[in-house]
Amino acid sequence: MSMYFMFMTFIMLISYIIYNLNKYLSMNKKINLEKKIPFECGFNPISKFNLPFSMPFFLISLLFLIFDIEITMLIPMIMYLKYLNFLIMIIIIFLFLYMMLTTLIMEWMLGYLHWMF
Amino acid sequence: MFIFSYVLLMIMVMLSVAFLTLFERKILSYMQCRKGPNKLLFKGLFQPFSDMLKLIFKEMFYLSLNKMFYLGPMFMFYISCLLWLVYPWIYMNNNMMYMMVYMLFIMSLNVYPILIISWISMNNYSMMGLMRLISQMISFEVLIFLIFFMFLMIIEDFKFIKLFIYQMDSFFIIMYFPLYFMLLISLLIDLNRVPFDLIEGESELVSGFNLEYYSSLFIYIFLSEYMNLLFMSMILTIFFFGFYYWTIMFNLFYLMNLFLMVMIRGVLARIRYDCLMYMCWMEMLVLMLFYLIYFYLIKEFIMLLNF
Repeated sequence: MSMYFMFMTFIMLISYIIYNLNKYLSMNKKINLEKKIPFECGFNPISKFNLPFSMPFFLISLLFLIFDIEITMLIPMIMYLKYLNFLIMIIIIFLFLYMMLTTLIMEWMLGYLHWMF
Repeated sequence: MFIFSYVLLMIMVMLSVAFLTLFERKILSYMQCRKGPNKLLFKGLFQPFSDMLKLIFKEMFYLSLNKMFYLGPMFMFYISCLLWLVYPWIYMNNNMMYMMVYMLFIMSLNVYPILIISWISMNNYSMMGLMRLISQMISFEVLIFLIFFMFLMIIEDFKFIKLFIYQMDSFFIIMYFPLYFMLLISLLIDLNRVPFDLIEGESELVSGFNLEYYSSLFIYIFLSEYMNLLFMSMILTIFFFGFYYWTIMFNLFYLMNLFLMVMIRGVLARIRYDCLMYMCWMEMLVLMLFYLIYFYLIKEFIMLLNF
């Protein structure tokens, strides 16, 4: 346990060293307003940074949630492969993959996967 | 002694990142019929060190008062260092039971620092890059896991050592040949490399999520991206060409995979964003699920033959 802790502190040390090297080695210039505002090609920014985004991005992340839960259910199944018998394992795996396929195809048919509505 | 081996590993990874940049520049330049960096000291061999020094000597100022602006890139660097903990080499001291689960966990954690970085930099371009990047990384996370699950199903264990043992006689690339390309595609998307670098793809998204970052804060982002590239080519080598680690053939095939991933940048053109999403959800995922059933049946058949 302490081994990993030492490794993590070592990584933190590296990042601290890089940051401080840059801080003390670099030259300092006066700070003006143009340096501080967010990047825009030649103009001062007009719109706010948090624009309303398009819906498909949100829907994709919702779809991912369902699939992520199914992934977490799949992980312990590898350990069951050793101990359970064939019949139970076949029923479990086929039911599970059938569920994944049907959810995916249902989402496809309902049109959530189409990029433009 | 334990910490010494990890320090050695980290230093070697940093050095290989430094030379990987030179390698990439050389390959891209020769693909475009020019020479690339060939002047500095001995045939341009020390170019990456001067690049690093340039980044360190750049000006550092406080753009944002928020601490997360500075901690975000460090977090990104930290995560990709943790990913290298699973590297199976001869001085590896940690024999974790669930090594693959740890690796998947860290790989899925890769999204968060990017989210922090682009949210905190308060910029339109980085926000647009963030939305594209997160939806593309998330949707291929599912695919990467399903591909890993195929291997885990065959070896029935979570350790890397079992992968080497199962590939003593024949490599998995013979059995799983189409999977090699599917894993390559999904890893390239996870790394945001060129056929799929849609975060900086269009001219209006200037440089994607790392737009507001400069000098040492950019070093972290840069380092973590290239460390992930090295790690992914290592994964490809372990999973498909099961040479025992710490052999010459392992290193040769490691370099071959690395060369392939770098060379794709010079060859292919990038694809449209909606095409990418259709490719993930409608083609690859459906194919993958049917393929999983098929390989489960093959595994059952092999087990039945053994009785």
